[in-house]
Amino acid sequence: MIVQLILSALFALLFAAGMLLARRHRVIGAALALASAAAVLPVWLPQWATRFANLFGVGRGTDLLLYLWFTISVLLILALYLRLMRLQDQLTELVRQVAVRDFEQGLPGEARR
Amino acid sequence: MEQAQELDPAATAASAGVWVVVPDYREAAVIGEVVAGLRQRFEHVIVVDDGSGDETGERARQAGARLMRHAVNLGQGAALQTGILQALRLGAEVIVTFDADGQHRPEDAWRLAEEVLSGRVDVALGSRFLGSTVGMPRSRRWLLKAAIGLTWLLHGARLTDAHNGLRALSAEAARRIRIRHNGMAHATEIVHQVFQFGLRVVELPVVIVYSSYSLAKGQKMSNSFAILADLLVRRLDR
Repeated sequence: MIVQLILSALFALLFAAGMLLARRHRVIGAALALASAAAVLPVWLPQWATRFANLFGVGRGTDLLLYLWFTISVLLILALYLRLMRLQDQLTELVRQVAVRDFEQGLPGEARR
Repeated sequence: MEQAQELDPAATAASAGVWVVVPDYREAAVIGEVVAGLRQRFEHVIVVDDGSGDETGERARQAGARLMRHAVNLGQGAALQTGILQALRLGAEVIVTFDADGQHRPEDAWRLAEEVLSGRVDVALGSRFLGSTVGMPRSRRWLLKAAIGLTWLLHGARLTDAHNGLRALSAEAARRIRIRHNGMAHATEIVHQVFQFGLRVVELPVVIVYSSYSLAKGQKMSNSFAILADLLVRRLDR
């Protein structure tokens, strides 16, 4: 029972994260939300998990879970990576503007400590 | 601004509209020499110190360059873009990009600049395979051939050398090309945009001097995978 509750809470969080993410990256966010929602089912209904997995051509419920978990992780990493890239772009712009301003004020040497 | 000692008035007068942009990360050992060499032919040299945090920038300035400074290290592509933007603001007609590690020759830079100044082309790219190379190891040659093949696959552009840091751009070309890849992938990016915008481009032979110094600092095999990954992932985002 305890494990089920913890896992459910975790998946709920991931679901919320997916919904939030969907605003920026629609596909990745929606896929994350969907995968998280689907992952809750076999936690509470393990006996259905295998039958459910069979529907998708997967032999065992645990395998289906494994695949879902893997998918979620990869999507999260990808989303984080894109986010990092965006931050990098913003940092670049900021540093560039400082460089240009310093240059025009004639103090590019000032950055030296 | 401190003046370089051996400034050739005739040569620099001809280069009045030409701005050389040198992205520089921790090249304190050679940057002074590189800038001094450039200043014999070019009046305007901008060195962008990409967050080196050492005396690199100071050496460049003492040798007669105008210095810009990134507060943190962003990468060669970002440094180039910063220098190019500033050169445009200062009224450059032609912008030459030139590596800081001493592998390029100022006379080659001038020939590329002349080609663009003449109005025949918008972009002149230096090619080490049309020209000659001094001391290029075989692994480096294959790596570059692979990069050329990739350029051909991605952009349908048949070049002999897609990843040479020595190039000349007209002001118009420089305004249109926007380097977004901060790291080394910018070389591929520039080539891509040149063809995307239908700019007139020519490849001219240049000599690359492979010293043990420049080799140690140059592209490594592992780097090229990072460049490829960078290009592919960026495409996902937009």
